[in-house]
Amino acid sequence: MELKDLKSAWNKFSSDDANKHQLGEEAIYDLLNKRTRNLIERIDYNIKIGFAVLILLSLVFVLDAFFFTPQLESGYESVPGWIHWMEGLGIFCILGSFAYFLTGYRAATKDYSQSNDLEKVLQAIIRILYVYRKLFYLALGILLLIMSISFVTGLYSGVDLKAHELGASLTDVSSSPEMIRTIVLGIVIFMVFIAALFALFRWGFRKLYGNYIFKLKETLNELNEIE
Amino acid sequence: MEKEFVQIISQNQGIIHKVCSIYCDSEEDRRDLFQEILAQLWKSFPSFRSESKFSTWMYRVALNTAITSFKKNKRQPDKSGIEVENYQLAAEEYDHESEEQIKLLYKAIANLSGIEKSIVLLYLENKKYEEIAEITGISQNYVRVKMNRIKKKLKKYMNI
Repeated sequence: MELKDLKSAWNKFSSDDANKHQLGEEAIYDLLNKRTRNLIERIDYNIKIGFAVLILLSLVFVLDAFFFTPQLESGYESVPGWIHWMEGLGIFCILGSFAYFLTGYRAATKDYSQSNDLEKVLQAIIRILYVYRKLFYLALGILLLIMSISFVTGLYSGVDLKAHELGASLTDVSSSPEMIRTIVLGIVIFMVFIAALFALFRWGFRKLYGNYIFKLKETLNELNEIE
Repeated sequence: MEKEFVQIISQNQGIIHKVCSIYCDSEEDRRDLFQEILAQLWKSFPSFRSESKFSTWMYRVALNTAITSFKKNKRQPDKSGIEVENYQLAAEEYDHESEEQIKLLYKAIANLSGIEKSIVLLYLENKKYEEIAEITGISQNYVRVKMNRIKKKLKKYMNI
């Protein structure tokens, strides 16, 4: 039996099945009003929330660098210029990342519509998911940047304070074996923490969307195999 | 606009049900997909222009949504053992052989990829290659080649 010979039986059965599941206009209204967010809408919502949190975090960083720290510094020796430069560079990096991320996200979502060709839909969803992943890394990057600058500032202040207490010069204290050991240990712990956070983010994203992205890419490959 | 949309969907909802029956293994999945397709149709409705038939546009949105639908890490059902009870036919309306063939056909279709399912559904719905190409957005040549492969696969799965 050929597939075309099954067409009439198929049409009869599929029409009967559709009739069995038929919904009235009220039920359709109800479904429309009670609809939950789909994946892309959820991602859009999460990106907006994530962006707001990052802006808030950056604002705290800026306030800390230019308002709280200078206030606390009064009466103490001020932080050297290179630390201020580093903070300024940090803020520049954060603003640059925001602009880069926003441009990427707008470009990815601009052409997304389920009424497009399947190829375009698949490409748009994959791009949106990758941009979403970038937000994870952007958040982590900003967090790490803030932590690194705080780490360096804290380390410098600690050494400086110790030198004052001992009445020694900064170079004497910072080059003592005990201090070098502490600095190295601090850097190692910091690096391990960074690596663990990256690994956790990567694992979490793969767990959530890894199979889905794989499925979309497979479909896209199938679509492109002849064309 | 919502009223117009609901009326037009109500008249053409068979398309969504047919797409759901091809892509879902359970009633729960079917309800979820129906709702997702409905939401996508509503979202895309303002951009619908009468350049193509409404049914063509509706098939396109419904199939794209079904192919790209995101299922959280649910256990994948064993495709070869799909619940045939879901496809129970009314005995008085179908002869036994047709009923068996349709059950086998559903089981065989469950083994196809998302794109193949969409092409075979449109083929069974008596759509011409030209219209299948318009709905899926792929070339007629590709549809023809793909359809030949699908027929071979289905014959193998159905042992006919």
